[in-house]
Amino acid sequence: MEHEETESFRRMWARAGFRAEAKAAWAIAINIWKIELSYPLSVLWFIVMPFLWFIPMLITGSAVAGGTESAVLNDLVGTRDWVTYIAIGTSIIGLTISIMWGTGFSLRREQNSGTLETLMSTPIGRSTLVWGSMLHNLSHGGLGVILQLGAAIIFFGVTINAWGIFPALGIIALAVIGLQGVAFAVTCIVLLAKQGWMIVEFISSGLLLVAPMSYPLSVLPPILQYVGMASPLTWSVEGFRGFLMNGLAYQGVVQAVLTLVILDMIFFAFGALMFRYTERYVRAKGALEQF
Amino acid sequence: MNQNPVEIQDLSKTFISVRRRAIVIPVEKTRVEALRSITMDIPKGQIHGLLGPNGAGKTTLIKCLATLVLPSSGTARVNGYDVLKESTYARASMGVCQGNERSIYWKLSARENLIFFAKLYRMSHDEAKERADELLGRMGLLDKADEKTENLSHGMRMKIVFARALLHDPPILLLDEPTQGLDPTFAADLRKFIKEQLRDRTILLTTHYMHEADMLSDKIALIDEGELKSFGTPKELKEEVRDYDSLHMKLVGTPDIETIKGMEMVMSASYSTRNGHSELVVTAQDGYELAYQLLTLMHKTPGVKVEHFEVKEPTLDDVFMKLTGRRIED
Amino acid sequence: MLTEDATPEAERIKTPYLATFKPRLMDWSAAKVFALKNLRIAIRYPTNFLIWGILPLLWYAPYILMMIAIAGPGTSQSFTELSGFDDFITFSIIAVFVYQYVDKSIWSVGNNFRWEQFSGTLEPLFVTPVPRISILVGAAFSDTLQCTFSATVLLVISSVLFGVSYAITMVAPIVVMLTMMVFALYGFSFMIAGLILVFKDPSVLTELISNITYVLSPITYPLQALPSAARFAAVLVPSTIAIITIRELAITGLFQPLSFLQAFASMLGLVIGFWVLGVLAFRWGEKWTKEKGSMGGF
Repeated sequence: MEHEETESFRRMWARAGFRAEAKAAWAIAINIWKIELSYPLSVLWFIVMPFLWFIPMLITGSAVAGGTESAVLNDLVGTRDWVTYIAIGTSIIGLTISIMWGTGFSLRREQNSGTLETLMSTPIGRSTLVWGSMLHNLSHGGLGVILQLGAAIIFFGVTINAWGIFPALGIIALAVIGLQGVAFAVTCIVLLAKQGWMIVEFISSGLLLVAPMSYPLSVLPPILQYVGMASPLTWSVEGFRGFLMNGLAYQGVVQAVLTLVILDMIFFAFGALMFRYTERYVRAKGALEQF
Repeated sequence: MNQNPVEIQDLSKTFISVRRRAIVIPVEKTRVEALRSITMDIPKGQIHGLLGPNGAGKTTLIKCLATLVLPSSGTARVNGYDVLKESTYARASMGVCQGNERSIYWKLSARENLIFFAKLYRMSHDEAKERADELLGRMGLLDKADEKTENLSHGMRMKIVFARALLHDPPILLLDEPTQGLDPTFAADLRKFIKEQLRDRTILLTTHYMHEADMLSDKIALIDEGELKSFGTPKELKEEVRDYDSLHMKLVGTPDIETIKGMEMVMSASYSTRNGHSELVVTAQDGYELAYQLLTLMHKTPGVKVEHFEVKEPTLDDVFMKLTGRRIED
Repeated sequence: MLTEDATPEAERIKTPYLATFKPRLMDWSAAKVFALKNLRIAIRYPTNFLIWGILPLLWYAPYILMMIAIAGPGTSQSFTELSGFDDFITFSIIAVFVYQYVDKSIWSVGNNFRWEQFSGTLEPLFVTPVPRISILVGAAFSDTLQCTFSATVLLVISSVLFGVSYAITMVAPIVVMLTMMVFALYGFSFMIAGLILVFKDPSVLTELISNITYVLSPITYPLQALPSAARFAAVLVPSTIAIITIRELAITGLFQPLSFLQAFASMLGLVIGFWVLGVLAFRWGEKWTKEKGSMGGF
């Protein structure tokens, strides 16, 4: 059967491939940034948010420690400086929430706006939609990490080891892969369940609870410690903090990186597969535009 | 002293939006005059249609009367009550069918929705239930009364939205495009209901369906870009273009509309494309002479073929085109 | 209560409804109807109640675990000297319970109109002759009931998990203080509702208010831990005095009439202040959206 093809159709067809998908993902990311920046309050929130999350922890810690050092923490993890310990650990919260919620709910937001079916009818890959959102959230969350750490260093006397910055960035890159797997899984839950946000809240809050952001794993009940060890977020936090506090002398690097790589592969594969089947299922049900 | 149930005097509404750079620096102020000095009275027991294209100001006018939007200037009275100074009395005097199917609670049933709103009009539970059942019966929805609204069809939900406007038996009704998006059967049902069962009410009906305005309205106001262009009975309005013939042509290809507009005998011309075909509508004093000239022109235009043409009786769309230079659906 | 004076001018159409209609400043039956409607819808999501009893635990547990990591399990000399209490876990959990009402007033009551706006039902509500304040109060009633249930679930689960207990003999004064706080929070949430009608990105505004309120509230630390300027601001938050008073009553089991009366008087002042502020802010927000024509938009 002969198909009538215009010049623009032939051009579009010839451009199919990874580069086209990457460009599309980038266009989606820029679009989300434009929308976000059109709300002045969002910009204000972005600047103020790192302070508002960290300050209650700082005040709480000061109330119980009576100063900037803690002998109890030293016994647990080998450092007295609880302020730096917590500041670095909690700086990843913004990135985590950004990726899990921002990316996980990207399709839901499009659904609510009524634009999801339009996007899904373009020739871009279905997962490209999620990747595009992830690009935005990665930059959004990444800036948040920098902002919070910067504020902690300038205002709260936190010190970091400059030699650890680049390896810490490497840990972040690995963390993103694992978190993206979680984000894919979250997207599926959101597409399937009308009250999905509650399930997502449980999952994200649970992951944050078992991650050693403001306390070491050993403080948790044993069963939660096992759950924590199976989460890529845990090893991301440990590696990130380890490098920033100890620089290249961080001793847990091999264990943290190896475990993180393995967990990343598992989480990413599982999340991607789950997304692939869920997206097909939802389309089969004809439920793309329901909210 | 004016004693009409709805009185609008020089009503205007301007929306101002400010575009900013870097969030705080204002760079451009845009003023949109949604309504410009609208003056209109609706006598008791009449249905007045407000006909115009999307963005003409129909919904803004309804919202001003319904006290949802503050006008920039002018006055409006509903049942003798000023919509600004006596807004609560005004709201008690009118029923508003505005908003789409999402303006009811989807987690509640049809009956529950109506009972809830009825109680806001101070009906007791028994009164509210009785009234809800009565209206659901008149809408043909009594057998669906206990089903959650989310499980009903679009047309059924719109009927519930319509029924809600009648709960407290208001003497004045504001109906904002009540049949928009409905399939022909539901739309015909609603129009029949308005025509037969609401004859004793004073109604302002907005629509962009000409035949609906023609069918239901005692008088029609044509509105475009916030201004009332013309007002009268459907017959009076069509008389304005009685001296003109309207030629409708279906074409394949794109005609040179500027050349057609430049022809000496042409009063107005517009074309639109639907399903790959162009529809050309041209008005002139002598429709038959125009037809001859246009057919000759089309024959000479490469890529254009005339599939069908006819000289038609003037419609409200022709009136609108005469006044604004474009069709209502453009 | 009458509001507008009808101008007895033109001959008006009278129906049985219009013949007896008089505007009111506050329509309590409409508030009740609205509250029941919200509860009816809430009940159709039954898992909500349980989830809202458990979810906050996941949010507050990290603070408690952090305190344990820094100071050891349950007690700290520095904390005792600062707060007067020797168990920071017991100290925190009761405050978490009280704070649920604040959270609910910000996220639910304050956002109620936004939810109606998003659902498309705000304009139909505003077209009725019901005073807006009645709708707000109705939403607040419904949310208070839901919050009481879920906060109680949270308190019970947390108490069992962390092995803490409170003095049940002080229930009566605690309920009095909670009620005063809830009334003050109604005014607070009216204020938020007004701001939310104006701002197009309410989740951000709500997050900001929620987080600032949390920082100022003496939940996991005593008021004395805050800088002095912040302490002054903290006292203006409707829940601060309530948290301090209720915590004192629940942990010590001692009722001191004079200090309770002082707290009561302060709460009364906050109730009046926030209601005035809240109603004014809401009216301003409503007027603003009417001028902009964005009542139905989101």
